[in-house]
Amino acid sequence: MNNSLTEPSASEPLGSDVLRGHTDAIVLTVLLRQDRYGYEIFKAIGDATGGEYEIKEATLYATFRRLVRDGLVEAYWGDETQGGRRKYYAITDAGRAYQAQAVRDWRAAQRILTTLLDTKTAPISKEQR
Amino acid sequence: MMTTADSHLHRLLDEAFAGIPVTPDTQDLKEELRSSLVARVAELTAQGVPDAEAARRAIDELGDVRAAALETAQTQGAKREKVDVVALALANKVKPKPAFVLRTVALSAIVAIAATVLVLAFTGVWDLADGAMVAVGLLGIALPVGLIVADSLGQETTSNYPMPRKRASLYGLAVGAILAGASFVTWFGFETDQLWAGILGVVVIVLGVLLATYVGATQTNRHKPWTKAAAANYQFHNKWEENPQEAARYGMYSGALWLLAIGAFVALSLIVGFAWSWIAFLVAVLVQMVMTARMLFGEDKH
Repeated sequence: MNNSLTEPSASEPLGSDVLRGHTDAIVLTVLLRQDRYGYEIFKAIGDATGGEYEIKEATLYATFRRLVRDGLVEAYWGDETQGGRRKYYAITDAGRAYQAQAVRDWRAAQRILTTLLDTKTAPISKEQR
Repeated sequence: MMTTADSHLHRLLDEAFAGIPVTPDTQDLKEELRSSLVARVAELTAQGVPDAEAARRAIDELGDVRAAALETAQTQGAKREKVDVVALALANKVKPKPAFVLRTVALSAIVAIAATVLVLAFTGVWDLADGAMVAVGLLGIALPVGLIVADSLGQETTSNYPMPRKRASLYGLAVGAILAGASFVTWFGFETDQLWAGILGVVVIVLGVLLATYVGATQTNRHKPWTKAAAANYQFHNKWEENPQEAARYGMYSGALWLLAIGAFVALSLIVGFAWSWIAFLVAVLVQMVMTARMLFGEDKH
């Protein structure tokens, strides 16, 4: 794991830019195992990275709408009797395929960047940040 | 239960949505945000944060609510552009994998050979033992057709994503089971003393139908996004959408037609035997097709 993420000061703009391009795939991954509602998805993403990366919740809700429109997830309102109703999201077969493709693409990109940026040998110097 | 923190929240949310067009989509977003905010505020007040402060903080944590609301309003309100479906399809073209084509052709050849063998056996040209015929039905028809179904559903096409392996296999299993059951029922049809084969066949068919119903009912979208965009833009007018009475009439005609066909089948079976009674169904299919062509696609009388 690259430790540049743990120090958000200088690397954060680039780091979050790279990550933002994968918001769709990140949300789909969170939904792979079970249906979840918005706040739960938001928490799951924060928890998975130990708080290193947080997508703004409002951005997330716009993402959900795009995913629903593209047929990658389905949305339904829960039937909670206690407290407020929650809107749940469920991944579709199309969403699963999209997520699998995103994982393959990322592996390929990772392999290429590892070679090109020579991250295996080059140390992360203070000046580079 | 309405707390002061909640009323602060509703006010702040209304402020964030001020000036945003009220559409079903933006209302839906607002409700979704509200339910999330209420949960967060409850969390904060439980930690001892004052009501007004909790509402303020929950909204701030959310990020740019206004931007999200505007984006939602625009996506929905956006004028639908004319979509060139052919260009989209070409841009998303997926060629079938050669290995898949080979597999399908090979399996289809097996099915064709098995079907020929069975026809020869049924017509008495080729004398085949009952057990052998059932085996041909199971291994030559049910198994390869099931495999073809599972294999094809697992393929990516121009308009569809591949179905997950497990689900595709279940579809294949369901089709295979129904055909396998049909093999046993057919055996029973020829040898009515083999009651067990009839019962087994019916049970397997019912299980297959149940499985097919289950996978069908739990099926989710697997179309690619571009097909959704194309479908939303595609205005297909047919006579039934414009004239529901016509559709109802078609349904009633169909019901009457098939009732008549079944009656004719039974009557012909008793009078001239099974060798010719199936013609009743053939005629019914032809009438149904002509009826569909005339009633759904035919010239409008008005």
